[in-house]
Amino acid sequence: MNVVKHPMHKESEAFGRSEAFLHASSGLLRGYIERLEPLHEALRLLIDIGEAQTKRTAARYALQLERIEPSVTMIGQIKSGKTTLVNALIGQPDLLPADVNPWTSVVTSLHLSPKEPSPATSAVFRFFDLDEWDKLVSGGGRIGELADRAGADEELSKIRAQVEMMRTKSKARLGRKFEALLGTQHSYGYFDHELIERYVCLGDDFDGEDAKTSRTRGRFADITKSADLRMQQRGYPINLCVRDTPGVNDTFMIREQITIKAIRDSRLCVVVLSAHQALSSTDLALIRLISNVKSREVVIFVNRIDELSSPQIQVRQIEESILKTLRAHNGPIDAKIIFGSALWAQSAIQGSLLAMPDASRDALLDWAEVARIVDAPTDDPHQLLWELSGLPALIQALSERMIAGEMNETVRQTTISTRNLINGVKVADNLSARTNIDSTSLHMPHEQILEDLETLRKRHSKQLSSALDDLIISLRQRVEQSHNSFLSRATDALAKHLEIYGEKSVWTYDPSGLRVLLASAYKVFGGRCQAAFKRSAAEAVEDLADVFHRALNLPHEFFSPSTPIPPRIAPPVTLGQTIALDLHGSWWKSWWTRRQSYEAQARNFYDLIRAETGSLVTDLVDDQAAALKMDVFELFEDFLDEQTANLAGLTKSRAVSADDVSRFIGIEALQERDRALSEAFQTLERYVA
Amino acid sequence: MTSNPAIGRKPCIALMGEFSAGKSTLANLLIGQDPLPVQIVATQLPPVRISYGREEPFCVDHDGAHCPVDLHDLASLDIDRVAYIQIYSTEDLLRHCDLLDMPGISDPNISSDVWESMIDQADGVLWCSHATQAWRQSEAAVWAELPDTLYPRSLLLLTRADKLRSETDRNRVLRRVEKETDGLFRACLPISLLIATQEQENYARWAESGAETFVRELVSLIEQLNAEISGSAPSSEKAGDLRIPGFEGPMSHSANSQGNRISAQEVAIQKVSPRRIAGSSPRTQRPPPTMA
Ligand SMILES: Nc1nc2c(ncn2[C@@H]2O[C@H](COP(=O)(O)OP(=O)(O)OP(=O)(O)O)[C@@H](O)[C@H]2O)c(=O)[nH]1
Ligand SMILES: [Mg+2]
Repeated sequence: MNVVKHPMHKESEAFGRSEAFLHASSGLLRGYIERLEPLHEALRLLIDIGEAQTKRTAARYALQLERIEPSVTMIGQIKSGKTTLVNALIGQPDLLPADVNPWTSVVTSLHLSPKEPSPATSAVFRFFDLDEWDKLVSGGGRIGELADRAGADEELSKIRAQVEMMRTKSKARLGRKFEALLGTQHSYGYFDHELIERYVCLGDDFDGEDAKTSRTRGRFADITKSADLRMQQRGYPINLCVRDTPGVNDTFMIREQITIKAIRDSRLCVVVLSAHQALSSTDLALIRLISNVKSREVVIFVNRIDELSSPQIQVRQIEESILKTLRAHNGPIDAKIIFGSALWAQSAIQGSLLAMPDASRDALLDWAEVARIVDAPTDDPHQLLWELSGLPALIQALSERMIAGEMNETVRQTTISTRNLINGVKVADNLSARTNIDSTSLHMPHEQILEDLETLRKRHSKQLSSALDDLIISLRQRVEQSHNSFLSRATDALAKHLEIYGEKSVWTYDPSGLRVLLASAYKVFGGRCQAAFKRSAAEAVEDLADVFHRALNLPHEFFSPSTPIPPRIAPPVTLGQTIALDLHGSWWKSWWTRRQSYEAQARNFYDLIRAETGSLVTDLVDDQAAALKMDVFELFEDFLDEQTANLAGLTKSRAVSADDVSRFIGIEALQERDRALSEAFQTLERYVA
Repeated sequence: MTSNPAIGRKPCIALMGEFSAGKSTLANLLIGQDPLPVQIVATQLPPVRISYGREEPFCVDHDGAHCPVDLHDLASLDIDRVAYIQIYSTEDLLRHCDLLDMPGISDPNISSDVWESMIDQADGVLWCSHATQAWRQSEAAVWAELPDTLYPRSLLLLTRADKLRSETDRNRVLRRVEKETDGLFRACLPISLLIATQEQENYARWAESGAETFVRELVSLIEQLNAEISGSAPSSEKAGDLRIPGFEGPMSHSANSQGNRISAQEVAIQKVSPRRIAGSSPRTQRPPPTMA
């Protein structure tokens, strides 16, 4: 791609020509994205200050916004120029194969994203399964019927015959692979013109030197159901999906069937017409098929105006005629009609103004005299060509509809959810109650308070301490159980060994099974310690809040200190120590051979193994577990000390000032956070109004 | 029938195709004046039959009754009431055949009844199909419903072939359409009517427009139709002598010193072998022509 400088768009200096054109034409979308900034900000605030759950939810909403991908589908009669138009819209004039004969056979979706897409550039081609092939037939003849096409009543059987023929053909071509491919897909980490050609266009159905048929082109096209291509396009500020479809009114009516199915999933459609035939009954049928469904939008793009002898005069006539026909047949008369030329857009992107045919250039000059130009270029004729191609107008019309439709809906939905989330946090803060405090006096003597606090402290300490002791006991039991069963398994194995190999052969037994059992027992223990800590802390806070309430006659929830996070459970390092059983080497060997009789060996070994592994067990319980218990307990004591001291301090004098209470409950931070939340809530008003 | 009784019945050639495919342009070129409005958008006229003579034009309603018509005020015509308009011209071509310019198919504003009721009058058809979107299902379906006696007596014209920008593209479209319409037409011919009229200075370009081949095929078709109508007796005026001003070529490299233009006469002298005729003889014989 040749890089050109566009002084008008400073931020796009590094853009290639096509990116610069698309950038210049997508101002509406960019403006909209900028206006979404407060919503993003509100979500960032929630992620920042919210609890874990709130954080997660807010992050999900943010992702939802980022993933908005409005889509637009090009439909129209064969050879109206859909593919060429799609290529211009995505800024890649040569990507999808266009041709003079009926060509596109597969619904092809191009997913554009301003950032490097993740997963990266890729192509996925899905194949029909047998079922879907038959479904192509069902609902056949819709366009024929709507368009009052001659012989419409017999189309169904014709389509069935065509599907059958296609099936036979691809079976013959693909051989055994045929069955295996159906219902599957091919994925690639790249794509180019040749790769796409292999899947999305059937190629010529005649032979000879001019025919565009080859072994690879269209090899899979008749069994391909859809193509999804992902790529970066920095020219647009958001994700976009642009969809190309096979032409309708082709004698190979399967194309039409495929397209009709695609319309169902498309909210925004561009009906591409050829300027030389304004709105035929087929076009009208298409437009009605789309706009009959509520909340579907249609934009009409009259392509190929470069082929008119005088666009100036003829464009007006065509527009009048289209409107007249739409009116006469109850069509959507408010549908936007845009005139242009995909060929001009292509030349603009390629910078090949001079290579244009004479007739096309004459038409351009003629059109330039009357066309409404939004963004008059100063120095680059290709920019003027781009303007005249109708693409900027098309992109603008599509942007308006995407914003008013799909994008607004998602934004509205996200905003409502975000506001609910904000409200949730505010309710939990209960700030209105907290700010209403006056100075308050003690409702019980300070000594009584101290006494209560002391009892409370002792009670909770004891409670946690005994809970932790219980945990240690159960750990010990569990660990001993594991140990004993290990010992009996080991001695069984030893007996078997002696029986089979005799005492001369060295026996080994791997202790990792034991280690795994011990490690998991310790993990369970650690988890239970943390839970016990949290439970005790919550209970203590409740009791402290009760004292607070009784002492000052203020609501319980004013007292809401954050409880510390329980200590992390360190991996049980003692399990890693080397014991005799680990030593398969000479030490173990010599030790083994020094033992004499069978009896002696069995007894000795039981003792040896017991002694060796016993150290793993005791170290785990007595060192590791005891240390963890101490950590947990000390953290809890600290917390209790701190909170009781706080309360004792607050209630030292007989009357407590409003300021003191406020400071005690951290009112300033709360107020700050409330202000931020309220502000965010307010600014979001505009997205739901 | 309203042709000159002295000459007997002449074959009637209908111009058909999708609307805006160039039928009226073709008609105007064939009779060398512009009696028919040509527009980029559909022209909503009933069928127009053009015969040799100097009579005043009139229109015929569905009961066969005649009424006067003002060609300058066609807009006020009630197209549902009128079966067709009859106009006259003294153009050479009309000595050999009548032309019937049909309204285009696929026009949502014109019912197919309008031309269906007229198709019986046609002995042959020039079907115009826009080269860049040639031979769509809407055309193929209509053609399949017409009497197959017309097939060997009709030409498929790929109009505005100049819009296909390369020789290869033109050939590929031609090859595809030929394959799809195998047995359905006497020949399939790309033609650029615009170039045929504009390139009067350059013989090579003019020949490229397809005009020359077209005239040759048309003359041969008219001869065949005339022979069939008169029971193969040679007609008094050979079609080979006819002049079609709209299709006269520029000065040829072999033009004589008087600066004569290449005429269809010269063109027709060379033995014409149509590109493709379905079967060697018509599949079904048309009923013997009835005299007016
Ligand atoms: N002059 C001119 N030619 C165009 C224009 N748009 C497309 N073409 C040409 O028309 C031909 C058909 O274009 P495609 O983009 O393949 O048309 P399509 O509608 O995708 O065709 P199918 O997929 O077969 O239905 C190609 O040769 C294009 O180069 C245009 O605006 N002006
Ligand atoms: Mg296409």
